Amino acid sequence: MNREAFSAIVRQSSLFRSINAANFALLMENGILRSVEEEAFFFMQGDPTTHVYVLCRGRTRLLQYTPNGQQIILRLITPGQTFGGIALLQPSSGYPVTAQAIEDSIAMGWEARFLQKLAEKEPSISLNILQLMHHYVLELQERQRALIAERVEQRIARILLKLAAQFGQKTDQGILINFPLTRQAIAEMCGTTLFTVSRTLNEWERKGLLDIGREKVVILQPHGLVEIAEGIN
Amino acid sequence: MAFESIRSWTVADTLNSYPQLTKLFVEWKTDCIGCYLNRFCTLEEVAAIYSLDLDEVFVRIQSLVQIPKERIEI
Repeated sequence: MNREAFSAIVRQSSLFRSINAANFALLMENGILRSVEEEAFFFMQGDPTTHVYVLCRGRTRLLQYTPNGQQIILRLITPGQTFGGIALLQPSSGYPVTAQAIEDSIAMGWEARFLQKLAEKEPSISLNILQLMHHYVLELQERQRALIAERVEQRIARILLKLAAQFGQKTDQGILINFPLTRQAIAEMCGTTLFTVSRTLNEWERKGLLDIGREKVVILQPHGLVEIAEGIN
Repeated sequence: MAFESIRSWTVADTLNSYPQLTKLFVEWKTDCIGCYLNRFCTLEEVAAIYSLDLDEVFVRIQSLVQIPKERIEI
């Protein structure tokens, strides 16, 4: 993949899709490409917020660690999505999350100071970052509601449905979640234990709702999972 | 036979092409509106899951929207 291909991905990103051609050229001149191997990090929670990134290749996850060392997966980032956007709003504070590549990944990054200057000329960047933050707030509200009001089975079903919406592929068998997915990762995404996830997934597999392979999940009865997520079963 | 191609429309395609059909999914009391998986489920699958008569589904759709002939026939 060459720089032009990366440029096309950045052009489609929610942060920069509406900026004019001259400013986009400036953006591409100032972007640095960072390549990070599987399991390695773009930045760690608490690192100074120096850069904003758009993922161009691979997959990356945003994590937080609790004081007792438990890991929580907040978001999965796919090509075209922005991460580290907080740097634009609060440069030189600390990243609130850790960004870890879950497969070999390449991202284009910009210094926050450069983007702030560009945003003065191109107000759509500020509006887009606000929209991105609004989206995050809605997502966190949904998570909070789920934690307070939903049974753990509902939360697990909802996470699987969201992953299917984002990474799903229809196959003859059902909907394959085309994403390397461990039970531990599901537990970290929905705020429960590995034991609960394993027990729940095994039960659903016995009922014929899912087919679970090594790091692979196929939803055999999509409607059945929707019923569980919505609490209507 | 004339309805073969509608049969395989996904809910997402249907609603993107004809947003006015939203009210039919509400009327049928399906959970399709806002469902994470509506880009995967076809009208045929929706009819089967909710025990709807497929021909009746097509008749109701065509009573609300003008579907170009080439989208209806095989």
